[in-house]
Amino acid sequence: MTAGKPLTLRRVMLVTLLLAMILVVVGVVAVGLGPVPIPTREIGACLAQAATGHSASMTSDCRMIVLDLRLPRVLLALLVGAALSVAGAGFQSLLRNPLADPYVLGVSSGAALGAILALLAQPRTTLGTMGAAFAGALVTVAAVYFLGRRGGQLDSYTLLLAGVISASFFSAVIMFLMTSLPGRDLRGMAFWLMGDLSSPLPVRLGWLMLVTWLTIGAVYTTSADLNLLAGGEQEAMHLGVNVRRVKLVVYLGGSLLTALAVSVSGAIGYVGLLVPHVMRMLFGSDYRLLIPASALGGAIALIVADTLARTVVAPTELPVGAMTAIAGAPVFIYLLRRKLG
Amino acid sequence: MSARITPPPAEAAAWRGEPARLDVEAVSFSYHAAGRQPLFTLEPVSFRARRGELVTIVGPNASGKTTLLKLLSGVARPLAGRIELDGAEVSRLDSRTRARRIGVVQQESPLVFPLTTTDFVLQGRYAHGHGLRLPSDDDLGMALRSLGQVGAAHLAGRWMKELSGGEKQRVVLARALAQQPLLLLLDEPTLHLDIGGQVELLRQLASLATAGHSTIVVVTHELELAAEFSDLTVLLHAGRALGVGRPTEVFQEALLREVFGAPLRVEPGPGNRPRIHLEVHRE
Repeated sequence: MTAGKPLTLRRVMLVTLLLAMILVVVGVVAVGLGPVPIPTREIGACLAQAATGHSASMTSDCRMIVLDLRLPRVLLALLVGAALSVAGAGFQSLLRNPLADPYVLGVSSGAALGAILALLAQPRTTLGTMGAAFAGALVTVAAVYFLGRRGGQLDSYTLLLAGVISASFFSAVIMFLMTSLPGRDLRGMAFWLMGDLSSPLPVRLGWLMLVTWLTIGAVYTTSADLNLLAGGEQEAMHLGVNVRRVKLVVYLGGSLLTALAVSVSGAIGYVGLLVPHVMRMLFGSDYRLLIPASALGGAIALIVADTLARTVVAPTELPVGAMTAIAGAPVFIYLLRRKLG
Repeated sequence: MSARITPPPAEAAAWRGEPARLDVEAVSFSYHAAGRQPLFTLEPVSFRARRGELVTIVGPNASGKTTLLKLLSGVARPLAGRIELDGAEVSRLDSRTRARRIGVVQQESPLVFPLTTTDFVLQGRYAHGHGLRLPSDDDLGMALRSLGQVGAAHLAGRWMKELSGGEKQRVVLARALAQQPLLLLLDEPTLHLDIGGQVELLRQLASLATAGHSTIVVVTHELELAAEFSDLTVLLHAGRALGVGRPTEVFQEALLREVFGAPLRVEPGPGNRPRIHLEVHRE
């Protein structure tokens, strides 16, 4: 159902509503799945009690498994998936490259390195860690952008190569630093290198949710501009886009979203590549629809990936990044061959 | 042969007294490589064009044609001199206002993501909208009208990547028309067209200029077509304007031979238009 007709508000609303409904269904199913299965009706009752403040009548399953364990994790997957997908979609227009993704470009690894450096420093504060992750993301995008230019033009090969090499360099430095951090085990390593949603959250979920959705909203305000920017900066300028402002918003917004995701889940790969690509195939490449579709689609995708990661090899768990890489890497190779071959 | 090249006066007498729409006054520019000697310098050039006029910029490669066009588009600021469009200096306009007054057709319009012709032409309405700019009925009507103006109404809704070079060229032109510009700039629009397509495009531009009262500036290598269709020609050579005026004044045999280093012959043609031939013989 690729869009052959110009976009209407009706279509944006319909697709958004449809994806939001799928998200709710997927979220409820994910909360129900696990070592102790919880029926949908019970989840519904539990959520209703929590929403209305009737904590006295809650069952222990409701309080401990649903509200304390699974719901926060599903909500975290939702936020991280949305953040990474919108960051990926934004970078794709900014760099005029359908293969751009926070992980492939090394931005996630840059953010992870920033966060680890902040963990090494004293005193450790959550805001400091997140700020350092943000700085790491900003520096990496800038570096990859300049390394990826050849003769004043952004070059696809060079850009991807610069990203992949930065990522592997940062990963090596992260491993080196991890060994010198006290009290970090292999799981901690996996958290930063592969991405993992099972570690305790350093911040309140509500706060994270607010900042993530505000940033996604900020990126969305540039969606009409991103459509034109994908055709080249010069063209966009001639059509009336304030290119400098749009680039700044998307560059900062994409880096902040990546940093938020990385500081709570490590470097989860390929979500930002895979989700916008699938959404483009389904709904067309207009950013005014692509950004909300990617946000919701990314949330759905990461909830599914994380639920698989914690159920397929139960009682052990896989890092969620392993699931996204298994799905994402082949798609990346396919896209690369189609684009460059 | 060595002809002394003397630039003709910047302005023909016939232009005096008419209100000029596009007023280019002693505009110069230079490219520098990080604090060194300038790599390229465009020496001061001046000309004026009225509504409905077609201006061509001709000259050999690296003569400054594209640089001049970039200055006219307002995205680059001249080193000295001024370019005014209906009295407003183009490089001082904000990006939105500029795009509502000046449309640019570049040599290449590469696409990263698939797009239909209609969506592509609707991009021309960007500067007329606000916020998300979801296309209104007016925008859509204007887009379809623009496609019709370039004889491409039948291409509406097709995928851009399925179009031939000539078809794509028309759609790109339609997008610029959808901006409803006072000034339309085209950088070598005939590059990917066969000779029939070139003639058709120039004919179309000439009639668009007259019908829409817009001023059109075309950078081109096609001297014959420039001679036939332009009201004003600017001949550039190594960053200098060697000729500015009507085609009969600019297209002089000695001057063209010297500038292009090719055996060109210029004859008077019908309608006071010079005819330019290439006289090549195998040795």
